[in-house]
Amino acid sequence: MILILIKDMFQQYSIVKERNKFMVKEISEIIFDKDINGLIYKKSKELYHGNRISGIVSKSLGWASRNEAKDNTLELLLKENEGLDADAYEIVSSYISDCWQDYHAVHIDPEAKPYRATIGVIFYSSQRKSTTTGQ
Amino acid sequence: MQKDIEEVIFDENKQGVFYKRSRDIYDGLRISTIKSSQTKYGCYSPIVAENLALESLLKKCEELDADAYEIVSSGATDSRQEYDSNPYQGYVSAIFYRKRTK
Repeated sequence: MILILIKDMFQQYSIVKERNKFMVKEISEIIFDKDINGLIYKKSKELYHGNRISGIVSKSLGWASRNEAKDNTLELLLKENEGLDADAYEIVSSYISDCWQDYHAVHIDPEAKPYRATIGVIFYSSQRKSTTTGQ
Repeated sequence: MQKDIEEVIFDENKQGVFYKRSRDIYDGLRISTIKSSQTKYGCYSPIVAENLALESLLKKCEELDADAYEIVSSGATDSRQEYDSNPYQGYVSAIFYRKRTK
């Protein structure tokens, strides 16, 4: 009985560990509000108190569908930069280019990735100290 | 006459300090969201197209009374039309800054 319990706990732990491996840490999108000359959370519109900790960080990747292109690229970009310990990011550029030569190939080859999403962000942190003039 | 506007670069290794091209430290406040500009017509060279877009963007700088800008993205797109002698459209996006008043 105890052995089954331990086995069960171990399985649960493995599942959580596996899930965390792919989860992006808590990070919120912020935008610059020109009326108050400061940064606010995009969702709640509350004031963000933090410092800029990065230059422009960009990522460009091809995807099979236009719908998933931006979100997936952004998620990977955030995941790759977890080491910065940022708790907020501001999107400074975002676009999708359609590589039309490959467009027809998508119908033949499901692995074709004609939609290239390019996203650039600036990272901010309310933990790390900075003398930034960025806000 | 267009005011002197300098390009600044964020240095992430030195606690978020901004540098001018001359490597002098710039101390200013951010005063804008991301501002963008693109050329109205096609151009024969991608570099010229990008510069024209920047020139047009810097005019917006004056309206905001900014004295520095940080480019966040720039480039030129190609129309890919075989007989188009002016296939390039330039685009530039930047954030504007103003020196702190003491």
